[in-house]
Amino acid sequence: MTFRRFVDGVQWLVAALAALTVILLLVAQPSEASGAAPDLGEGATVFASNCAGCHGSDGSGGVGPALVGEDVLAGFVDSQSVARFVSVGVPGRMPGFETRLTPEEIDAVAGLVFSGLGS
Amino acid sequence: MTANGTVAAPSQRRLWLALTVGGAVAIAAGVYGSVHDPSGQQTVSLFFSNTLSFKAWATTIVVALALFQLWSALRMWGKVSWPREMPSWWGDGHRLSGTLAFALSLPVAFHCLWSLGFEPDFTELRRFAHSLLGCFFYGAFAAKVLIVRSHAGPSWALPVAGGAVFTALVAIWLTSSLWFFTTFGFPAL
Repeated sequence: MTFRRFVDGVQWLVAALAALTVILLLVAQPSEASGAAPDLGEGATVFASNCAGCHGSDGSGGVGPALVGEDVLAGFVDSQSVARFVSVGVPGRMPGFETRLTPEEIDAVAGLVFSGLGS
Repeated sequence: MTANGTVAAPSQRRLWLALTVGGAVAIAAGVYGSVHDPSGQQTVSLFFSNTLSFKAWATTIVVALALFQLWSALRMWGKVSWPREMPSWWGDGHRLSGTLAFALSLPVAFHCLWSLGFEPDFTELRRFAHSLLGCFFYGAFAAKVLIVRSHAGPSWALPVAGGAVFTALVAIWLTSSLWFFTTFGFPAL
């Protein structure tokens, strides 16, 4: 097989992969095992769009640490201390959200996180 | 029919068709990302610790392949003179690198669209710009492929389309992978 025919074959495969990606976008459903964050009002909305990308939609962790079922919240005495942490962030590890979210949004998501994501 | 009453040349019509299809692809991606309820879930991570690490590195590899695309295209068009002798596989190597770059971008785009969605709030500048650039990239890519395949438009159409794809990709990397490496550390595997 010539290199040109090999590249042609790869292009057909990738075209099929692109079609499969579009189909998956249309039909894929979130898995139940790691379901969406519970519906706890604004906090859940803020969590889904700002935190879930790193901490997972159910807080089970990802690039960021898990927020449920571990000791990550042990150092916080109340939701306000979580809110301060969320506002400032950790240089090099987690962005601060002081300029990205309103104080009300930070309070809402901090309350949600401190409650163990509603669990 | 053009504004001055002459019939548009076939290649010009094909250029408009390519641009229309590209625009439709970009808009379709943006609409999907806006109306789809983001799952917030991890998807592909391969041998990385999580999906975001995979995405940051995959996008970096896509940019590396795109740099080869740029260089090989410049050599084919005689804009650079190295290597002095073009190997017989050069043109097909150009095609293969572009194909692999596109393939590697697909799982990244899937997570962006399915798991995170389109950021409509322009005060979230990085995410807003990244969302727009991602949609623009796939639209420009579709237009570029159609221009190549159909030999559409004047001679400047292909380099402009290729340049738009490359520029969008670099901007996408700056607003995602670079942000990721500077926020979470390097190499963040």
